[in-house]
Amino acid sequence: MEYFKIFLVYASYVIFGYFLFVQSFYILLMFTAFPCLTRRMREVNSDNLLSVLRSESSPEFSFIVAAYNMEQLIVLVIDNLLALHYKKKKIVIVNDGSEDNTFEILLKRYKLVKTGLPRRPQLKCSKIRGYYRSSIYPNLIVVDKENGGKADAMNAGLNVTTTPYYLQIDADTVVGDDAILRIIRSSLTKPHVIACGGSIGIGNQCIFERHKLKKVMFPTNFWAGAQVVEYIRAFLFGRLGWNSYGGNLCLSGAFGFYDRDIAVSVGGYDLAVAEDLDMTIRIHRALREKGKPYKITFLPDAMAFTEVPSDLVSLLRQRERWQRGVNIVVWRNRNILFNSKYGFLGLMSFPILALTEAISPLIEAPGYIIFAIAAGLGIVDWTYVFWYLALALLFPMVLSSICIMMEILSVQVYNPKTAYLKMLGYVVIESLGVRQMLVFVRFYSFFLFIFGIESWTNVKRKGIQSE
Amino acid sequence: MRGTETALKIVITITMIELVLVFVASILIIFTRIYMGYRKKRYDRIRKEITSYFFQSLEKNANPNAFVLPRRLRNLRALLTVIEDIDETIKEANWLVLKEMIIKRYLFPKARYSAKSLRWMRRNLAARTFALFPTKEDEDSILYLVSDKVPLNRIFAARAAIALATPTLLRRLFDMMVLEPVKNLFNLRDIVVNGSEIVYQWMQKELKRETDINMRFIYLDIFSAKKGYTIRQLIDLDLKSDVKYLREKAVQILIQFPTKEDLPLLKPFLKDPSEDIRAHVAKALGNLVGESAFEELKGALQDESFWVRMQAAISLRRLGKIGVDYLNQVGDNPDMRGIVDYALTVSDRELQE
Repeated sequence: MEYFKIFLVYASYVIFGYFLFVQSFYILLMFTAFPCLTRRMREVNSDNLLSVLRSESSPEFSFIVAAYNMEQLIVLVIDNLLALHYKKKKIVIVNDGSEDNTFEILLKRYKLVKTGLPRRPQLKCSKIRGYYRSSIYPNLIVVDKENGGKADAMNAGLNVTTTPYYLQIDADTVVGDDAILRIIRSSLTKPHVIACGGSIGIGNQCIFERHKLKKVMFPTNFWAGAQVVEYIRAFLFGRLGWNSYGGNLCLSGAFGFYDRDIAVSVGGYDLAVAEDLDMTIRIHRALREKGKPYKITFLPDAMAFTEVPSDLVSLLRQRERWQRGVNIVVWRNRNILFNSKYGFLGLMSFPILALTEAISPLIEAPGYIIFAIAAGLGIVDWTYVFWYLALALLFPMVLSSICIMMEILSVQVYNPKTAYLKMLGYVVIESLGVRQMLVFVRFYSFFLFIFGIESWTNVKRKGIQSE
Repeated sequence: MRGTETALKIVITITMIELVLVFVASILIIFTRIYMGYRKKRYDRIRKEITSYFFQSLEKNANPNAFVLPRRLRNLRALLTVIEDIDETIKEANWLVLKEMIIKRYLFPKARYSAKSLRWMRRNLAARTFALFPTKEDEDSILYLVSDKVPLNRIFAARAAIALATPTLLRRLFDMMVLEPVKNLFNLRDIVVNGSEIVYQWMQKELKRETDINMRFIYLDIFSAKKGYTIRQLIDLDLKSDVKYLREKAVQILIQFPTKEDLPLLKPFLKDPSEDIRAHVAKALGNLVGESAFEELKGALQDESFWVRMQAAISLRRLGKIGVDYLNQVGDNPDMRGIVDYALTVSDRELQE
């Protein structure tokens, strides 16, 4: 019993130290993110990029959309992309062996005709059934292939892409005109930008006008609402904060803009899960090894809206899959950890990613239990427990509230505007229940990864409710 | 236990500091929100007022020289944005006179001062101003901005350079294009393609004496993108060049308007080591040379490259009955079946392309 008590005391110290370190680091990120955000908003507000983007000088790029069993959403997403006011765009849809009617819908709706093969496929992918082009929209290409996962579908899409840049977008994601202009703007206003990513918002309820995204409503569904807070926190201060240090390690797979040649030169997409994180890290590695100057940036004001799980089971499945992906990527790139050859990436951003994303459930989940036992047995002082709770529960709440304020300060996308008050309620719920539940799912996922067990993957979709 | 107490005190102090910092951040955010909201509203209001001022002046047909912008509306960035927006839609003479006067009076002093600024946004203001109204006087500044490290500034300066089209500016612009990575060429190339006759005459003159391969590639690239412009007499050396991409561009220029007379000139390129060039020629033969290329296309259908065979098959389909009959004949060969099937089912739209 004595040893058990000593273990509890020291374990609680370690857990407390972890929380203290992580939260202090978050404060540092927040203070870095804030000036970035204000500078960015000032620049964007006084800029007139439309004149360039409407002209012959705008860069050509392709949207690559990997679609698997997306019959509910695919037409809405493609119509949204076709309606975007940008001249030099191509749209490449990859039907990744869908078992539903996705391909038949595409064939009929866009009057597809079979066309030739791409010049030289540079990346390996599953067997291609056919390449198609729309006879109504000449810039719409469809690749029909056998199922091989998202990364495989993205590679098939990259093979037919001939533009210097491409924009990876999920088949359940919609974008507005502004977001595209802002993404393109970054490639024009900063030298050496080879990839940039935008923010992701919750688009379970959107209003469209002539296929264009007009309004994003705050979701009425409880689980989707709780994720709004989580997404704002992750994007607005996490990724934005890393921007200043050039250490952005993940551009969202739902909305990421890449230099095609660089993506191909690193071997294209590789992993079935967390392919976005894997791709970004491989680009970082390749360019650092070659000693080439580059920038991977995150743009807080370029927003795409995606459908998120709206029931508990789907949410848990999604998080389990994400955690597995992060673990795989961290394990594959473990030789970067504390490797000075990779500079800031190896010494700072990657170790922090490993600690806060991969290893964190191993500390956080047992942490709640250990502290509860230690406090219950009176092993640790109640003052200590109070401060632990302040750090683990109260602090994330304050941080989330600040992020919501930053959202109001910058983009303010959700409607009606009173939804922001509702969001504050969700902050409490998210910090005092949802977050802990997700930590335990991630903890479970970590063990599945260790023992190499594949688990549930399918996420139930209801489709973006549109008007 | 004494150690634990000290540790506890340290932890409490750090946590307190963190909470204070968070509080400070909240206050900062609230104030910034109020301030930025005010700034944005003010900026939008100024833009609206400037626009209505311009239109009032144009409607009254007032003397442009008498136009005076009130001091409160002299926000140069807003002014520039309004001029750019109007300039895209209105091309009338009185607007052009008014634009010139406004730029000279309000924008030039700041633009000339900021052209070599260390801050890119200031240089951007200068480049945008010069793009709207380039003058010989500003040649030096434009020259500097053409090699700006920010692509957007280079684009605006390139527009100014192409509009002025002085030899010095064109020289610098093309030097910059050689330094650009190929994928970034779109920034400047398309601007040059839309350039005036003076630009093309200068390029022809340069092409005659240019020996640098990369530079020749840039010139040929632009000529190959320009519709209705041919420079056959200047590309003899490039057609024989050992450099694949130079030869490819030269062939692209050659096949812009092929006629039956060009067949002997194009024929050797069906044996070129580069499959891209063979494919271009196979496509061009079917496109415009007509039935006289039948024998050559028959040969190209046996090419080792799938892509060339595909282009030859499509070209044969374009020839009409004679080509289709031949495709049906060779279609019995299992190796050719896929390509022939594809060529025979290819859509009319694709054939036109």
